[in-house]
Amino acid sequence: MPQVTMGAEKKAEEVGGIWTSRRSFFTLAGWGIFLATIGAYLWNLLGTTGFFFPKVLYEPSKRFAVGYPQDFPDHSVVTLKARRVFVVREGNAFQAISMICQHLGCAVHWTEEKGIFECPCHGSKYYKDGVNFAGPAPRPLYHFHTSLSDDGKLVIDTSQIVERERKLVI
Amino acid sequence: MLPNLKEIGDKITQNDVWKSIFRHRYEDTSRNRMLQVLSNVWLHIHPTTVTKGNINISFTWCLGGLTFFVFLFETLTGVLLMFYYTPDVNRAYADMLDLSNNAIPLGRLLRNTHRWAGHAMVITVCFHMLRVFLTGSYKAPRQFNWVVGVILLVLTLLLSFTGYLLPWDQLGYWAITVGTNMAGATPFAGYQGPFAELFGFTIDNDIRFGLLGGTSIQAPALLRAYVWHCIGLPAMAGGLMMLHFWRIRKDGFSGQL
Repeated sequence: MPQVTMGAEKKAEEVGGIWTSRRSFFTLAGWGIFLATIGAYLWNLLGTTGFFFPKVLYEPSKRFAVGYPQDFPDHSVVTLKARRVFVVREGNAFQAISMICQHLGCAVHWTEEKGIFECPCHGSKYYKDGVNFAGPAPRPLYHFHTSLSDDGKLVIDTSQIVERERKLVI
Repeated sequence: MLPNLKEIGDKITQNDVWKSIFRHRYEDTSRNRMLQVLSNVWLHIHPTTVTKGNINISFTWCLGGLTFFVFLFETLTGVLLMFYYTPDVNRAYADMLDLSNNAIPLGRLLRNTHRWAGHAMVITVCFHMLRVFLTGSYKAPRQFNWVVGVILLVLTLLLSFTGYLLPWDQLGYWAITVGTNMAGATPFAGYQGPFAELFGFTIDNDIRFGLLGGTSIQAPALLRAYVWHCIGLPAMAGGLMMLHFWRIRKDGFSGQL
């Protein structure tokens, strides 16, 4: 039973601290275990492997076929809106350029008359090869890996970013 | 050499932040027992005295009070809107149109006033902050309440932000695209921010991912915005508002309302 002292201040703890007093040690150990447990649960709730980070995603595949190369007109930029990519064809060379603006992630569009990509959100502009030249965009548009599937379709892999110079020549 | 625990303890407790949150000590004395009651938001919400001048409504228009009124209005209209809104990518926009086109009695009034009052709350809370700043009311002994107020400002902006996505229209979609990409550039937390490589943040484990529930804005993002907008953020804001109002009664109003 703890002593209740009405009115009078309790005496300060006797000298010694946790290293000599068994009771202080257990008090501290108890708090330590309690806080460590709370901390572990908080990490599992808020940490980067926790509750807010699902392990399974139901998102579209990052690798997809977009059709036969001959379906894309020569010297054209074809917009694949749902996939968020442009397919750029120059003769028999193909490139896949991301629609995602490098500033804050809006979808840029191809302006045929000017021959550039423009972002509607904050006015970033890119040349046909994806290099930024105006507006707040800090770097060129991503170029994605392109290949041919076994049945001759053009395949784009948006999980693989390649250098601007790389082209798929068919 | 053993660490001096008392010194470490003093470092943690002997500062303004700690003393603002824990306003009395733990000893079992008559005085502390009294302080436990006097400094508890549940047990002692009223101040011992309020001067007459402090409750006169004057040219500052009781801006904090206005903000609270708008918050209550948002809660009421928001709960009513929840009866007819489904946070599903195939339903959300159509539900919003149904409300706007009065397919539901009072639907247009509810949706439009909820939207306008949302804007109004951001405006009144900013004016409230401006007034507190200009009258110097953030100074001691009210500095703790200023901190609570800043958190409430952030929560108000987050409420406005999460509500923006719910109509699932172009405006909201691209606003959330831009906003969450900004979150993706947060230092120590976002995959495009400083130190992202150091902490191993990529597009599927950073703060942006945690907000969206995925690597792009899909169904989980809409559901998350809905839950934060309707439950998480209002609950946090409500709790902090109680603290905010209680603390200003204890610290005393700096002047007329």
